[in-house]
Amino acid sequence: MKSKSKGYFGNYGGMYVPETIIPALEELEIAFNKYKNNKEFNSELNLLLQTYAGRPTPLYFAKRLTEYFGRGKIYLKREDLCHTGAHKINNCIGQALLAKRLGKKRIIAETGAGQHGLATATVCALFDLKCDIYMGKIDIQRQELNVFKMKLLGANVIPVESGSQTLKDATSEAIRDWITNIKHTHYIIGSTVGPHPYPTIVSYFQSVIGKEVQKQVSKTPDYIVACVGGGSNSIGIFYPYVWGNHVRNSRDYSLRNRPLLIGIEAGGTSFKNGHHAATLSLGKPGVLHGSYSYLLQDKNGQIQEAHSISAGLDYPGVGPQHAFLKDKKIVTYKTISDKDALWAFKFLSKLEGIIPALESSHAIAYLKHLMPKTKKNETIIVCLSGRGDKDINTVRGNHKL
Amino acid sequence: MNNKKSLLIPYITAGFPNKKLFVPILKTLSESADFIEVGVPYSDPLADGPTIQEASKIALENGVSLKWILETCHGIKTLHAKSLQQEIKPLILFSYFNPILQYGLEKLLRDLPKPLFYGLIIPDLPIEEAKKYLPLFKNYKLNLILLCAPTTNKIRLKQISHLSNGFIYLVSVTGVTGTRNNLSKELKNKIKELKSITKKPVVVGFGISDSKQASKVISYGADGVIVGSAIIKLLKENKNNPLSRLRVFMNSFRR
Ligand SMILES: Cc1ncc(COP(=O)(O)O)c(C=O)c1O
Repeated sequence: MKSKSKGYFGNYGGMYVPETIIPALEELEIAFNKYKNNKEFNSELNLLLQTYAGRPTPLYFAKRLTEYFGRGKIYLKREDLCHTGAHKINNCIGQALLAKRLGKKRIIAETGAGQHGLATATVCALFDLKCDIYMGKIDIQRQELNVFKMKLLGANVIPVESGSQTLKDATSEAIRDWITNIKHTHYIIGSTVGPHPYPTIVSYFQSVIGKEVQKQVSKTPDYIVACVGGGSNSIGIFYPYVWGNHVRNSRDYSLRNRPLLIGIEAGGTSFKNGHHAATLSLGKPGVLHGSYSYLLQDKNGQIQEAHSISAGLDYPGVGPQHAFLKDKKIVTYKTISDKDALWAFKFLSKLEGIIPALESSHAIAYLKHLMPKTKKNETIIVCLSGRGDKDINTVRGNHKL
Repeated sequence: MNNKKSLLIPYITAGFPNKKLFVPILKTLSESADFIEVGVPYSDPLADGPTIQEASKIALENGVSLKWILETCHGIKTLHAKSLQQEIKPLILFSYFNPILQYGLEKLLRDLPKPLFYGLIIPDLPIEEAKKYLPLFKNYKLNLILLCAPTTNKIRLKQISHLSNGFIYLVSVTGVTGTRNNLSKELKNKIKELKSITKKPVVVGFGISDSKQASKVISYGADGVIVGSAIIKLLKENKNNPLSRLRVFMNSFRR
């Protein structure tokens, strides 16, 4: 997987950041490499994942969903049942344990949907760390429930009013804060984005999703579907099937026994500029927030605004591993519109009694396109990355139930 | 900063406050500056504080692009009288990496008018990423000026000063650009450390807002200063007579 220089996935990745934070990235990389195989670190991590985050999360056979389509068997990986309601907590616990060992007393994070902010605020309460969360002003409005929860947990939520006032600008502000307070602050990035070693670290801590799936299935699934914002829940569930034991010693990425891996991006309202967040499907490679990957940009290299009904997918960049997986055709990337995501939100709620996050609803909505192609003896796993309570206001404003 | 040998390097965002003033500002600055940093506006300037962020945004709204900057600078070289070309001090292009990538790095190095352009500063291209491009800069006889920060340790200081061309840019504060009231205590030691490692000129930037701070930095052993946000502020606050105010401000550094 690693070729070229440090932190690259094919041509993608790297560390395109100001010199000021390079030493902190090096320090973080050293700590990560030291502790990821450390017994004491792992037993602390695993205990918290089990007793605090509620892992392993169930792999649920969605009987009614399966009957509805009348084809392959559909299973849902229930990340929505994690403490704080999404997969984000997996990464936050891991990074907080690293921050503690680095002696950092303050944590900063960016958040879009508020799920990562909430998970960060939660681990900061748990480990008694000072916590500042950057959040775009628009996202503060559309995710007010999560803002309230973060404050309840003792975090300070800092509104970001620059640019598009969403996740991109919250990330930029968090990086500026980190540049300024680098000595005592650890930045918990919420997805597989940012400069090396972040994509590697976040995907490692999220790989627990896919590793559990491997243990929960009796045979290798035929399809795995996950939504892609920055790319962490998808990389997490794809992980063992891309970089796991059975492929680790192989240079052949097109292994036969791999499930068909499908990443779903936010198609927004149309494929016009500014109407979607389909970075891999419609973007071009470039540098944003420290790494070289696909992004939405104009011909002069200025970053364009993204749009998605779901705040967690509303980002003009994507993690470098996905750029690599796309170019190598290891993962297929598709888009789902705002409208179809709203349909899936309501559909899953009524059919299975599970209210999905609007992000995860994109993955559910793709079943409409996928299922007719599947056979009865095939299995499909959908990563249900989070629960939808946070989205009730958005949905209420968009839909008559 | 009475030492005439010290380098005075102002920074401007190209096309701020408007496109029309770009060349007149370069001319005015050239009266007192040794080099001029020409900032390419960018939508997501990670290393910049609110002042330069805003200038960047306005310049983008004015339609400034790397292409426009190049065309205008070629105009200085060809259309205007020879005297104007001689009037303008060597320029240093300051740009985040993505606008350069999309233009094409090699194409840019080829297209930059020389010797009008002396080199480039790319704040989000640390040595890890810059290394592979150094031969290209050499080919086109342009300097890639690398940055050191207060957080840079001795080993890296050595690597950076070895690889940096023209001079070395020492960031004075742990933080983003913007004027500061006080210089950090560690700055003096950092300048000394760097000067003991390298013979290349060391210029200090980020947060230097007046001649008093500049003199202090020079007294610590630096070879020059870069003044950015203070100039942007001045241009923003003096819409009626920006050039004369700029002249007065720049001259204050030479007294
Ligand atoms: C529930 C949920 N799913 C998915 C995402 C998208 O992020 P990623 O692609 O990193 O999983 C988010 C982000 O906020 C989220 O809250």
